[in-house]
Amino acid sequence: MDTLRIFVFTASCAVVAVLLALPAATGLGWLLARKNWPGKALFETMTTLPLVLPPVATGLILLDALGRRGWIGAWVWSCFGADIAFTEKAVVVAMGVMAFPLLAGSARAAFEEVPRRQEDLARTLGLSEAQVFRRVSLPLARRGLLSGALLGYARALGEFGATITLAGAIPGRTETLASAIYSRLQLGQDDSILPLLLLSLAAAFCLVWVSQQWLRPPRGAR
Amino acid sequence: MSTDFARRSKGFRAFALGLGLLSLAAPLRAGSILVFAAASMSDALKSAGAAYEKRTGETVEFSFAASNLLAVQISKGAPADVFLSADDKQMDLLAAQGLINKATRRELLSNSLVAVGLAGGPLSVSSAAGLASPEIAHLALADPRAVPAGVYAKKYLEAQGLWDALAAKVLPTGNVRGALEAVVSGNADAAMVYKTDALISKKVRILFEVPVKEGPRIDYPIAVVAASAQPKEAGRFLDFLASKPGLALFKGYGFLVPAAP
Amino acid sequence: MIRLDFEGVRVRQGAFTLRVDGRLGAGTLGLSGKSGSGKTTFLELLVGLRPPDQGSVRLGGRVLDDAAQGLHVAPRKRKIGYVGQDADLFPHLDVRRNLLFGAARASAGAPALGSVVPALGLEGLLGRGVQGLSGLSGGERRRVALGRALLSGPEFLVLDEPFGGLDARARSLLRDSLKQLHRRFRIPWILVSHDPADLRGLCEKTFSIRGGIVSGI
Repeated sequence: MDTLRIFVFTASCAVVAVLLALPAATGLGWLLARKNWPGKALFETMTTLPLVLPPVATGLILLDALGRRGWIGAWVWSCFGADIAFTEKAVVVAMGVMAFPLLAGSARAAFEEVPRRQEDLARTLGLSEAQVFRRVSLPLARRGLLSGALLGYARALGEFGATITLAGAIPGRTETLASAIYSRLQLGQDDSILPLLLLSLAAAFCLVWVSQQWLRPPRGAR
Repeated sequence: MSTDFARRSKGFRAFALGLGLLSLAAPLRAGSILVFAAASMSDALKSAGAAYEKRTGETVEFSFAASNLLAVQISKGAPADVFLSADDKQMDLLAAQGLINKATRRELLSNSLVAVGLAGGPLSVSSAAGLASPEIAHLALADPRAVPAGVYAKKYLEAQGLWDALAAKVLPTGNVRGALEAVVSGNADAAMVYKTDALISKKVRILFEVPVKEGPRIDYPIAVVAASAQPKEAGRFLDFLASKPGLALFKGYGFLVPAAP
Repeated sequence: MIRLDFEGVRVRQGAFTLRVDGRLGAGTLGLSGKSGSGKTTFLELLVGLRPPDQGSVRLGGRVLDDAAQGLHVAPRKRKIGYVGQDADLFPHLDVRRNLLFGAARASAGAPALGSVVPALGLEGLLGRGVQGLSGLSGGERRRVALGRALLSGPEFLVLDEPFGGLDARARSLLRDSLKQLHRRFRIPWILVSHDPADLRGLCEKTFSIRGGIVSGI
């Protein structure tokens, strides 16, 4: 029962994390694919960092910002009297940050795949830039965005280092699938790890399977 | 139009569902104290916490991770009330920064080192000197440069004058569990680990135990965190852990209890 | 009636430069030129996808481009219907939605779906779903693209090689459709083709581009 609860909690946090990160990541992916602006390369590198840094390091940076003594954390504490670090919000934040580079990267690739001609054509048909984005770029990039979201979700689901650093592993509150497996491993409780492993495996299998279905273009289209 | 709308509302439903599940899965427990503790103690502490709640009605929550990560988290303002470290060094670091209430610090528990081999295996080693025998080709230790269990083992073997002879066949692993796994998988013939870890695994047997007087002091210090918003409640839980019934719980998990002063 | 005035227009594209000077005026205009002569660049200049590096372009009395003043009217405000060489349809929309794509922004007097569909012989295609889009023949794709441009309410059409790659039967069908359109909607166009017969049959006047220089105007 505990296993199922941990799984549901982890899966829900990952859903919320991806849904919160997706709009910004999609916007950024579009900007990277279609626009040139000063500092673009720097910004691009910065958002890729969570992919390259050891996750614990990302977690520590987040803790510096969101901890009760961090500049964001202190502000939230003084305004709302609420903590971010070591709560379920921190799980969502850590997952979202770790998934973000994957979401933005896939979005960028997806928008680069959209033929500029199609967007130009829409402009000659009287559409504003916002309408071109909504009615042409976004639907044509849909497949790539969805598979990116799935990839980001998979990353969020299995994330360990940043999550345990920013949110801790508080049983019943912030313990995720990964941190539950870790602490049971420390205790040598191989028997109780098994259901967690099986659930993780099943979830990973489904995600990969579905993402491959989505990636495959439907019969006939382009 | 209709498919567009359906797609959008599906996304919205998933979002609402996610939020709903999240709030269901995460009951917020106001007023309970938060204990940061080494992951290797989570079983013992959870049952201690349950016993404490039953006795006093006060709730205790834990966050389990490696002691060095916990210390870093506390130094960055984590809302911990109590810190139970698997290692004096981490507690000393926090004490030096004034982040723990020094008056509340005590050595709650200690552990001892044991050498283990495969359960049912042929090893006839029964003393430290025996580790040097050709029967043992590889000796697994948690990394003796960084991980406390390995550091302690090296310190002990040096004191016995055995380290130079053994150094070449040491197989360093990431943590104590790794050292045990190395024995179980056959990559190492023996390992030196904490007694509590050796007792958990049915696949290994203890070859010999390092006598407390010969071995290094392996302490598990505990203290109330200086920034705790509930120092009184935290202190009460600490007192409970150090009380007779509290310590009896830990003994059940193989920990040693320091001799009464 | 199209009236286009070009003053010292230069569009550079790598080593290639398109030069246009003078006035174009007619109900239907034909443009000929070899591939690589700058035809497509010229058409993109007209619809606003490629601002000139120098010079100015006016349509009737309206300034479309003026490089010296930094003036550039966006493609969506030009009201010039564009049917490119590949007659790209939006692959995520069915035939009907492709046709109506720009219709919401058309002005009140613009052609309506009910009159465009019979004029272009598209009745049989309206029911095609998104999956059916790839089953369209080259001629059908062009007629849909033509209808889509028309329904956005343009002042004139720019047709880039509409007959390219079509077999004889599809060509004559499309030629009839264009004549139909002209009769019904009095819509002016600039049509690009390298077949003199097409130009003669469908356009009042013709001009040509050679080596990036527009002549005959």
